[in-house]
Amino acid sequence: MNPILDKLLPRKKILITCGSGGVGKTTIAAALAVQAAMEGKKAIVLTIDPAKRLANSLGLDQLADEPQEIKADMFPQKPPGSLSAMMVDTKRTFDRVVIKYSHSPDASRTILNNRLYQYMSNMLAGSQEYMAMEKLYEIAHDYDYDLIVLDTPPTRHALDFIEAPKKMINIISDSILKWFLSPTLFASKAGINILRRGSEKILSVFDRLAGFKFLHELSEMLLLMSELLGGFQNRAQEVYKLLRQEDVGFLLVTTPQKTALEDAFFFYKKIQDEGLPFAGFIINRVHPNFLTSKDPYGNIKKKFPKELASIETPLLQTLDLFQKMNALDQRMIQNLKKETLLSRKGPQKIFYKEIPFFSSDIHDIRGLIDLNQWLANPVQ
Amino acid sequence: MKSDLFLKKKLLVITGKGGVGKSTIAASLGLLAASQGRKTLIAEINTQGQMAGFFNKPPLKYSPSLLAPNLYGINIFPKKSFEEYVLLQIRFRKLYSLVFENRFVSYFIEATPGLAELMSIGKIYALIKDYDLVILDAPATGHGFSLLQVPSVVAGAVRVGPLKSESEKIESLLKDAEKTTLIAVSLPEEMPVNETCEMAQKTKSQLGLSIEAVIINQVFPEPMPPREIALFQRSKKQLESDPDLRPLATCMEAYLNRYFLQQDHIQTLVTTFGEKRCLKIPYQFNDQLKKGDVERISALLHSQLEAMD
Repeated sequence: MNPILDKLLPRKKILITCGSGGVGKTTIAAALAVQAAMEGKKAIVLTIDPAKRLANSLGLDQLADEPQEIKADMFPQKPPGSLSAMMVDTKRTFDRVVIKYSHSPDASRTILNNRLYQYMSNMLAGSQEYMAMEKLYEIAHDYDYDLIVLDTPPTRHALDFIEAPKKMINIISDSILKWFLSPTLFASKAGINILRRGSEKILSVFDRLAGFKFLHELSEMLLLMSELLGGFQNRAQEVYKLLRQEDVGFLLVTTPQKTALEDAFFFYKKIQDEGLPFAGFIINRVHPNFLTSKDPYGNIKKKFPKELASIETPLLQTLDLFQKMNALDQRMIQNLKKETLLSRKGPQKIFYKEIPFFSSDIHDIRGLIDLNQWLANPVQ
Repeated sequence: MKSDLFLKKKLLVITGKGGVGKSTIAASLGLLAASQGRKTLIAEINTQGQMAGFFNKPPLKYSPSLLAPNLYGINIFPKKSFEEYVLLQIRFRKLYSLVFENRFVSYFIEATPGLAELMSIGKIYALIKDYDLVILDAPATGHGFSLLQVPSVVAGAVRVGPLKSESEKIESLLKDAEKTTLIAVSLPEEMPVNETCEMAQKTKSQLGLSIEAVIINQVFPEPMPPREIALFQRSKKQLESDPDLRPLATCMEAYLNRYFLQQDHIQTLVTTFGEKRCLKIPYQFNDQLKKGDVERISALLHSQLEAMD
């Protein structure tokens, strides 16, 4: 097997695929992990997406919340390495985080049984992103994979993902309600006294808006959660460091469409600003170039068989359409290259790999392996 | 169902996975409704305001602006809606600043599950009285669903107070099939088709809402009549044997593979939702859709809606 990953992403142990929805992120993530297994590595792909087709193509009914090794007979030939896959279940990961960081089993039970917690653990802004980070950290530390590929949740707001751990802490540590119902806890903090003067009014405003009962439940939950804060904070620090390690590579997956490219470029700038290690762009679904010769149309006209005259026009029109789309795609890709080079910080090498618009869907590991051949393509 | 009937509703919710072209469809339906004399508003939620690009207008803001004759657009920011709502309840700007422009409270607002969704859908509810029709370009599937789900959840979670009564009012609007219609936008590809079918089940079982129509976007048109397709398939080898003609054959073959694959996926949607509820929009072979494209899609939707019964 051609060592594609070692050439393209040398010494990377964690790959994180990012991009907006519908660009094929999950498929690319799976393909990279398959490639690693084919190159003799022990690899795992983590996804947030409950992608049934991905599970099926790996020979599983469903992706589980813990690593599952893919049977070697799913591969067209036995891989020298191994491949595992798992899906991050936000709710279950959140529950486990609560159990892990609680001071006592009683405390964790109270949180887990809180009605609002049950609802919130799925809906809280950024919880999906936070749990993806949590899981990544756990897999990186508790297991011995040579390569971990994390497929991130589709996000238009790229920062949600990078800032998730920080945001989660802010929400819990700084929430007014915690301060409110447990003033002694934070009495020493500067500025609190100024705030306290307004507290009566604040209480009455919330009461009028939402009703006291709701308020009470919410504050109870946040108070309980504050107990987990120490654990959360330490973990956030560790995740922050982990993401900036040299063996991590962020990959941006995009299509050549304007909106997807804009999202990708926005994300690229964020990655640069945050000082995260960026590896390259994978541009999916590029319309292929079918023409090779310089003056194809002249020869086509001359040589087209007379007996097929009734299909000459549709054949020409279709070819023409695809050539136009290919030219358009190439222009968009050139723009991306130009813009990213202009805003690049530091001398790191960025790759741009194009994957053509396939005329069939990918259904199995063979399809994923075929896709990888485009990553080896040296022309780009 | 005739299109005039279809557009007689008060609220059209356009749902779908990211990247399927929801905004294009929302813009086209908006144009159609407006051209039929209905004062129409297209609402985006917390976007970069790209909807206006279809109409060559600057990005949408929080206050409605004119996109085309009779057609308006708004970009709803949950934070602003929250401010508006609270001010309506407490009536004192100073008190609002004291309470809500405080860092601690901002975090609280972020932490309250579903509050952003509730405030967005609440704003839509408030806007409905000013327009004949509001078209909501909902966020991608998962989020679109929580947007529709949140009023009933809040109505259940909060026991008394204005938040409860507001939620109940919004909930009854969403569940009123006379006023609200759910439209799914999908692509003739495996994943979006599966998601559309799952979404339909979820909205039906959890919200009691059914998807009125599925708009299948980016459909490859039939490249030539079936007889010619057969002729091509018989003579493919002959064309491939000549290097000058090979690109023609390779390209058409790739096109046909995709075309037939799409037809299979379309069939899945047709089986699930019924032939007449599946509208098809051809693939637009250009990159940035402009006003002319939206007008063309609008006309295509019009004729297909007319054919619904």
